[in-house]
Amino acid sequence: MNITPNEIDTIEEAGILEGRPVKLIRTKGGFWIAISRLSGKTQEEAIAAGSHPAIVKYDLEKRFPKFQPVMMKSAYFSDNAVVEKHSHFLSEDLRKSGHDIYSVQEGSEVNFHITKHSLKVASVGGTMEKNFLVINNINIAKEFSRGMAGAAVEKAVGCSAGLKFNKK
Amino acid sequence: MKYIHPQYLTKNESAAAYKKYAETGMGLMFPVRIGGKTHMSDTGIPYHSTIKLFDTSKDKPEHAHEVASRLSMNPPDSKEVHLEPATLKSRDGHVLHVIKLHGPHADVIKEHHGAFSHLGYQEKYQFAPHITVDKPTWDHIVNSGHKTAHDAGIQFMPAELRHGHKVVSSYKPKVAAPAGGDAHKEDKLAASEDLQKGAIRNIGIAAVMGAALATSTPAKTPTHQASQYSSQKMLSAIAHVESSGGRNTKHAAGGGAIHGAEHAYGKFGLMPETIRETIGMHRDLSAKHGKATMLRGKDLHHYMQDNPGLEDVVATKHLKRLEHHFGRKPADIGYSWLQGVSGTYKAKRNNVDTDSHWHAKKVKDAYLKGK
Repeated sequence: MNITPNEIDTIEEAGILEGRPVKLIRTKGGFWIAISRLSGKTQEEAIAAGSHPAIVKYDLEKRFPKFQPVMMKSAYFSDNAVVEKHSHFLSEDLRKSGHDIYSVQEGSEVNFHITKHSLKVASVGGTMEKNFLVINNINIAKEFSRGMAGAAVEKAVGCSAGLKFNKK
Repeated sequence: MKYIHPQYLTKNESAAAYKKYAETGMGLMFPVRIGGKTHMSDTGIPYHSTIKLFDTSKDKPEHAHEVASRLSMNPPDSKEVHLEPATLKSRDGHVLHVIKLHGPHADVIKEHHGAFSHLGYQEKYQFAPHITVDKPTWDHIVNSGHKTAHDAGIQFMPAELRHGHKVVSSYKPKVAAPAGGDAHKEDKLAASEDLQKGAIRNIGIAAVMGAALATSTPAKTPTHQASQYSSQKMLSAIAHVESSGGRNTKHAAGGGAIHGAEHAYGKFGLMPETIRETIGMHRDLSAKHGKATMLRGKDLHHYMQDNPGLEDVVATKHLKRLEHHFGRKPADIGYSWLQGVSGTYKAKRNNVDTDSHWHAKKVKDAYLKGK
């Protein structure tokens, strides 16, 4: 992956991996990429990417258990955002074509990101209201409906909450 | 270590009532030693972990013994038992101090408890394995922060069926075990097999046998096979039989009432129900992968794929459970891997020749050939 300087919006220190710094780049298109120079490599390379910095952190921690995040200016990366992966509800075909579903909860806001090769292709917003996860807008392609339904139920159960759909 | 007030442990007796019951009631239990001590300093009741309390108005010792003699009454390995101090409040406000027991070996106590569901009192609470202790001992365990029974100096002794102070029957392993170390664990597991075979059928001779067992510890040299047993080798043998070592993981549907249309997963041919059950039985797995217990079919397979390494962890823990129930015998492990814990016990109750079963033979063969 080659990123030119004029595509970069911000760069922040994200943490340490194997004694080397990990940086988080936000592109002007709103894509987040973690870069670092892994041991045995001569130059920095992308080691994780995602549509949300918390998803990048989730991915980094999963793939590199020794990764140590640091506090960041953006407060996105090491804040209390809770990320869960729900990709197991996607069909075999969607999984093979690089699709994933994540939920990102920040306070009472819960956003579901449907991604393809880490790029967001659809999203669904929701909020936690009085022991219910209320899904506000479902405007996604039909092929994602089963996966989205599973993700919403799993997230609600994980929060010990009921599930409601806002028809507005 | 957190200490909570578990509402589901509704042991509502006052200390006096608890003592009275311990002196007159009937129960199956693992006697316990804590730091070498056998009795509580306040009530004088022996330390123990109850498997089942019986209702003496309807349950006879022979009823309890009949079930107990069918079970593998191996004392829990203290290294495998995790502790959680808790308190219970009785109706009169008296606080009882208990140490809740967790982990696979504590779960076996729970399973044994379930085997006596037709006996005892009607239970309006969820049974949880625990040891009631005196306050100084409880404080010591809390302050020391010990995580396992072994660290806290807790030893589980062979199970006993007690009626008041009288030991009606003892379920002592027949193999003398050297103190500490893995060999100790292996011998204890092998002992359970012998205990199964030599189960005392007649309660009339149980007391005599119990006394005899209590005064003699017949030494039995562990067999060559037992000393050579390797869980890793066993897992390799299972993987070889189930999937040619991971090369053929397209398993057929399990079928039956439990598995239905669900297919086994991965190189060990783990059934989804086994995966869910194993995760549910282990707090560490449950905390991290609890959501997997709600997944079915392909969704569970996908979850396992997304969590590389989980398959090995589940297989290892499941094998450990089978070893605890049926000993470290490749044929029995092979049979129980296919038929499950209940199915294997049922087969043994019905005198099925499990060693001749095709899966048992294949696993044993692969194990002996080191595949």
